[in-house]
Amino acid sequence: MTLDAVQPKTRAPGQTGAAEWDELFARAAVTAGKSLELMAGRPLDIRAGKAVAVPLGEVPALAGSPEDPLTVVFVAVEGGAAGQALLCLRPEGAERLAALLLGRSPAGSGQVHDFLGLSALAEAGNVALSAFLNVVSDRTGRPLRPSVPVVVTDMAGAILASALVSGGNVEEEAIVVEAGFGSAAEGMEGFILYLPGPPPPAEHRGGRDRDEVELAGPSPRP
Amino acid sequence: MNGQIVSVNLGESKVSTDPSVTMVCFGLGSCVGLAAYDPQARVAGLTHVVLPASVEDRPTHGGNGAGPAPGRFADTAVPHLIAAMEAKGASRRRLSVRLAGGAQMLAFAGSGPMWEIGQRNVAAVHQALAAAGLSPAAEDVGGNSGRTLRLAVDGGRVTVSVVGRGEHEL
Repeated sequence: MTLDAVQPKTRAPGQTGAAEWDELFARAAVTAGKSLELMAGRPLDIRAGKAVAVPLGEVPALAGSPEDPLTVVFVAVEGGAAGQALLCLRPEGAERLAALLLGRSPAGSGQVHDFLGLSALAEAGNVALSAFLNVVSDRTGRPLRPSVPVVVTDMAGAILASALVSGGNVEEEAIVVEAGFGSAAEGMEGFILYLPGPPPPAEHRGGRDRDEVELAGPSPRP
Repeated sequence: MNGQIVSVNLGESKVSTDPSVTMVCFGLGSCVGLAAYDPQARVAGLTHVVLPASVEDRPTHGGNGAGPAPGRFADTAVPHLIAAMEAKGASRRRLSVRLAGGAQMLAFAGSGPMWEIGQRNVAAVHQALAAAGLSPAAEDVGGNSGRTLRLAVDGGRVTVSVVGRGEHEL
């Protein structure tokens, strides 16, 4: 499996991504990838992040066939730029990553459902996603609080659509930030998705500043 | 099931009388797939419900002014699907309705209405069906697993598949 096999399908670059945001997400992706490299003790190929607008109906297919299994470390993000952050791997890749972190041989079944394997994946997701969010938080000056990570393996479409809806994203389009990482040699390519929540209704915006609203929408940051 | 696969994506409703078609809701998580079939008129309909209520859950900002698709909300999806099937010759008295989905995929990640959206979707679909004088003949809902729902227009056979558990007829 190559990185291309799991990279999200996106619309034309630049459709939403102001250069400033693309630079921010690229930096966040590299930081997240470096944190995973440190954990895994291996060099990884890191594909910079970018923000794209995806029609709601296409979100379940972001990782390819919505019926194919996907392993996801999920955190809900609260704070100034609330949303959902997901570390996504094919189950075989997740198993290899867990095995690498635990210093054991992968069983080759794609199963990571023992306690240690799940804990290792949760920690990898926690570290990578926190690193990603820290860069976003530093740049926007808004605190971001990730929830305790949840690891789930199931149909990609079921996970991605549920994550999107649970974050209140029910607009015609979702803003998706995607960044790839992995090692073809290790067979554990994956990607990070960040789904910023929708901007709050005007009547509920009191106390929030422009940065928060703009992060959730397509407008460029000043 | 062979022939043409027609995907019914988030918020969509589709109706067909083409016996070569199998309509599919791929990867239902908290969403609910509602399959309806009139065996006499041989009209099949499938809708992919995302949220329970068109008033409470509809976007309050943004959008293009056209409004969301009626299939997105249980309370509008059910009457919309029935009307579309009736326009193709179906009778609501003869409709056999089956449901799948409404799972909580991200259990323990949080609590509150948006985390229980699967349960709310199922309840809202039941309510909308009752308002239309219908009740599901069968359903596979709830739990923590994703599902794919298939409806074959030829005969109205409905199946549900779950990762690691294969496919079963509903």
